[in-house]
Amino acid sequence: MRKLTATLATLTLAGLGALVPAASVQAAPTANCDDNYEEAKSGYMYAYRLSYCESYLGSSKEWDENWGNSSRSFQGDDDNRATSIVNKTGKYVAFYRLKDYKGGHICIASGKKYVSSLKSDDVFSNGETADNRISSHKKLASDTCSKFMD
Amino acid sequence: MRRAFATRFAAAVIITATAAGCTASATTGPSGNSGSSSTGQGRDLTDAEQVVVERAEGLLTKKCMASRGFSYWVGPIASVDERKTAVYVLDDLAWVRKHGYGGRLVRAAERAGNPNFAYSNAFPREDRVRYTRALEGMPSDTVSVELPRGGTVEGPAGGCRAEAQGELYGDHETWFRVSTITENLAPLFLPDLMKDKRFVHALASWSSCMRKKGHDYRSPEHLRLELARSTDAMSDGKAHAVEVELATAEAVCAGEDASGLAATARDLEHEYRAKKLGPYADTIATHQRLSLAALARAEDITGAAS
Repeated sequence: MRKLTATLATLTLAGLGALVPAASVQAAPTANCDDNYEEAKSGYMYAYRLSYCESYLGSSKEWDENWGNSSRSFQGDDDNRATSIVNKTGKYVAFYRLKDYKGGHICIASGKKYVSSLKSDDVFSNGETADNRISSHKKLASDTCSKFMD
Repeated sequence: MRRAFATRFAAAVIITATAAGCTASATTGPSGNSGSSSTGQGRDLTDAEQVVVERAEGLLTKKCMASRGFSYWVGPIASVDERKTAVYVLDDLAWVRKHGYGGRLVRAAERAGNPNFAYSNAFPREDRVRYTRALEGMPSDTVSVELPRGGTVEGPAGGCRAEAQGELYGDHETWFRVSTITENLAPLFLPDLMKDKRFVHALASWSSCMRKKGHDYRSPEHLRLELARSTDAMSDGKAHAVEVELATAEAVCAGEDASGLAATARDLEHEYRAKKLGPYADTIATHQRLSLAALARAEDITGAAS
């Protein structure tokens, strides 16, 4: 699992702290997502253009049926641009390949704080990769997803 | 949280519809939660019991947060009626005549909002970080579980919420594992169920009944999708009136005197769960055992608090 792997890496580095100069210890790349999550507003989902929650795209506490139009939280060229996600909604959030919640879907679970980078195995339920292809989103009941971000 | 089997059925129907390229909004209707059990000697909690458990979890979380210097409000906790808004098809005429698809209940809950969100969002950045850590632990402190059909679901392993669940259920990590898996079993049997001739026949009969009443929908999930679109811009009162009319038609058409779709769906889900979920019998049994133990603790906690 990505985040536990990062945790193990951090612990390993901490264990080696007595052997290596502190300045050479680099923060895990997910540290930025950790920070963004902790600073995020409760009830909101945040999307980023780049991996590791870099390059803020937008945030939403409700839904947005079209990330490419001029209404709601995500607008214009936000469409098909998201690569990392922070979820502080306390809910499952479903992301869709197309506007109006069409095409395949993929969810981030309520307890998953972030996805640091959508990868090739993060695919919508229709088989298309989700990276740079999200066009709408909404919150869902806890058990209505068939596909989850890893 | 495990909901009634009928709720799970509704959820999985959404999954199927979405995977097939359709879209679906949350299904609504009485859950018919009778505390049924698909395997083993235990049973699932009723909706009313689930409310008690969630209230107790909130009280434990509140106590923990207070010990760390933060306020915390119990809730919002969905009422029993709100929980009835998640089954595949409605068949409780008395309920739908009062609540329609439960939209008014949902909108009222949305208007009420979450006081914890308002409280923590008003903090400056550093205090918000402290609050998040108190409630959820450190970001890297997580527990995860593999889902039956692939994928991983993750949750906080530390913080007041996890501590409250640990106190209530006896073991937070075990609870997280069994509850997550149990909530995600529907994809293992739903696709086959929906191809079953008995289901297909009952659904066609329901659709035909609805058409005769002037409502042309392929399925309950199709109706809900169209309903959400049509009522989006309506006033609360108008939306409720539309809901009641459609929900009443849906329930009449789903009843035994018409298509029998509601009973067929419930019977088939019971049958397919028994047939397909054998490998998860232990997980389901553990979920039920922990839930019932939590209920006993919750009754003490909420009794002492009231």
